Amino acid sequence: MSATSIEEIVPARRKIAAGSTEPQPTSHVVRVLHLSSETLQKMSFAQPTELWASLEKNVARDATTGRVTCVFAQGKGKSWTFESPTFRADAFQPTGILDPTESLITNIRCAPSSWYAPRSIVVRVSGLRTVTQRIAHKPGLLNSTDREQGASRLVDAKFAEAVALASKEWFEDGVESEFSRALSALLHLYKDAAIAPVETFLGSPSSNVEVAVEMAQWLGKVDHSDSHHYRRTLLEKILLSDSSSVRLRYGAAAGLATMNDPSSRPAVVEALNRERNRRLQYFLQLVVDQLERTRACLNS
Amino acid sequence: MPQFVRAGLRSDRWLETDGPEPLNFPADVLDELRTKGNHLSVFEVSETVSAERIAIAFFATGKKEPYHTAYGVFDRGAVEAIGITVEKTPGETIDVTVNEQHFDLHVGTTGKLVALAGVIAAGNIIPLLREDVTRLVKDGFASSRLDHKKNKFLCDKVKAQIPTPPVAPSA
Repeated sequence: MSATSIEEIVPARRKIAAGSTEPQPTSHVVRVLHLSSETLQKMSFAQPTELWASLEKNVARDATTGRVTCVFAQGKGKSWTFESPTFRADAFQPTGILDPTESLITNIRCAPSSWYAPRSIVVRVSGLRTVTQRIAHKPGLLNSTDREQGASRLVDAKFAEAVALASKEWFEDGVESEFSRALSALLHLYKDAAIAPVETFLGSPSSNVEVAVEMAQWLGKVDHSDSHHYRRTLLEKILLSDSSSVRLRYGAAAGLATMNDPSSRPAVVEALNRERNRRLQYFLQLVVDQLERTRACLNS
Repeated sequence: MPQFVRAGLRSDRWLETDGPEPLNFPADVLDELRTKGNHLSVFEVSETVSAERIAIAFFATGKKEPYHTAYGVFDRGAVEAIGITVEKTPGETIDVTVNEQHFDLHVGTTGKLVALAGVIAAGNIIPLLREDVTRLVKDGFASSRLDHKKNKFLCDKVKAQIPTPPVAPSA
């Protein structure tokens, strides 16, 4: 293909979290970009694993094409920037598509029409030559934004932005905060990598306690089964940490109560036995009782 | 002794108010007592309206999802003793019976606000877990204590079974 062309398809409703904090739309149009070789030099993708999976799936049939879904956020004006980290294609042998030395792909900017606010974009990767080697997937994110230079830098930057805005937000129970939405978007986009900065923030004694409590409660509330274990163990760690403030211990207990996983009961019991704050003791007892009821219900 | 309820509290903000003087409370406590026109909204407990019912009515008014909450129960006499005037005004929750128990506290000054925080802290701060809030809100809608038409979103969220109104017999 020599030029970039666009076709629009309307897929079935799919839950995709963009970097935006706007509420998820009930429907969205997905644009398929047929990209030229030149354009591919500027591409980046949401998840390297998605691209690899797509390319591996397609390479046997057609080494020249692949299809991957990218996530991007709306930028200023009418531009969009891929929020995804970039990747390096090590085993490709194409020419004129990727830099053969580094095989780097950087973020792309595209400007669709203003009426259209997509939440995802499907990129048809075209123009690849037939590869003689199997495409190797290197773990981590490999390029100028990779872990050595900060692939997590992107996540950290987004996280820091969310925390800065959170300090200006009023939190109330029963109302999902913009901060929670931003964290959820990061989690759906970057998976466990999004929890690492959360763990760092919650472990820092200088973190704003109000934001920390909201964050701990979010850890328990967010609907994301893949990270359930990580979040639960993190909350238990916070609950039992001597360096956690009494309010943060409450936030962790509230998060565990929301998760309602009976396997947390021993940790909450231990926290209750150690706790000196009367009001928090009362709350922890409520959580222990709830987890016990849940355990009994599951066993019956 | 008559008691007031201040609902919609966040438990964590009150954890360190058990012991210290009000002037040494964590500052975030005052965020819980946001006055409007120097007035603060509270409800009075009665024989027919329990503190828990007030807390749930308050929560169900405007919230979109069940979650942990807390409410404070404290003495009316202690409020009046610090010089705060009490005025009966209509409430605006989605429980009309609870609305009849609404009062405005004419707090007036920051000094009295801090003193009021002390009165509330000296009472009981009662947390409710999300599981219990869900159950109580659901019961509230199902029993028509809470007007489901005024918060259909929450009603659907807790999957409350709304009683079907009886059909008038045809002539």
